[in-house]
Amino acid sequence: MDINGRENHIEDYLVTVRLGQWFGWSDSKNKIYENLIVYDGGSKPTEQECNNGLATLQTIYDDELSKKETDKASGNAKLKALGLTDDEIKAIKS
Amino acid sequence: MSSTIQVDNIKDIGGNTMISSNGSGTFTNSLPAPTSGIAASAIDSGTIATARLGSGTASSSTFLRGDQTYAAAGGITAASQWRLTTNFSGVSSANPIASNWELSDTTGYGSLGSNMTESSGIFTFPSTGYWHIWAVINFYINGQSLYNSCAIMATVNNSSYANATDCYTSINTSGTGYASASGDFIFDVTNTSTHKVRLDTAIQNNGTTVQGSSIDLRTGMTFIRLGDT
Repeated sequence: MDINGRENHIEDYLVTVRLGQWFGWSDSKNKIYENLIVYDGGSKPTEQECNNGLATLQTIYDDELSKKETDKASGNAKLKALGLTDDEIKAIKS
Repeated sequence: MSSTIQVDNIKDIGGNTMISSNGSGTFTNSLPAPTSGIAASAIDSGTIATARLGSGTASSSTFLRGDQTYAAAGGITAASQWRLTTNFSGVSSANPIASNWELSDTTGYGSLGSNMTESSGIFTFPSTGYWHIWAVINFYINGQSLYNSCAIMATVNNSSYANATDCYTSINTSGTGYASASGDFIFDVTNTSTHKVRLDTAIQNNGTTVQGSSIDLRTGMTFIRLGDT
């Protein structure tokens, strides 16, 4: 995942599939699906599952971020509607 | 005025030859070697044989001690760094972190001397000696994980492991938060078959991910041999 916490690799999905160190890479310098290896004897997710899983995580992240921005704007608007100035809004947030 | 004394043999009063000549410029000195009275400054060329300076074996990896003995050169002779290549999550502990270890190979990296070896998360030393061990574990979670530990575990009987370090960090964020815990230990490795280490972790929230990377070190261990045991 990137520094902001947004998932950007199928490894970010794989850690959510099963517990602990159940997988690795035959070439850790080239973490592509074809190099995915399973240690625990369990099933290997399909490439499609990995891609879909990553996309789902990204959607959740993006939706949360978007909601946060919307809530922020909405909250500010409501405070202003109550008659607070920008400085007063800033002060109560600090 | 000049004069010349021409002889082929100079003897002492008892008839013993002190210096002789073959008449062609080759001289034989039969005088006893001097035992005193030679200034060090008189030795102004050539190289004194190492065997004349001390006992033992003189080489590029030895030095001459004050007691005139050649001994193994001091200083650091071994160092290597290992790292976790792959993330894992969903556990409240890993005792040890058992797989996905690799010797660092980041551009510019260099091991010194012999490397540590690793098998199923157990690290074996290439030689006895005092070893400095440093470890770090990087964690992240979107939420709260109040304790996340970095524990170097050591054994002196290749069986029972005890905490050599147990260092913690905490994450409590509204978004994704990162934190690392690290610790170090000086291990007197007197036997490489019995003295080993591993890296463990304990995590309060099993939604926390332990970070691995094959590009740079996020979770890993550094081993530096300080000297002889």
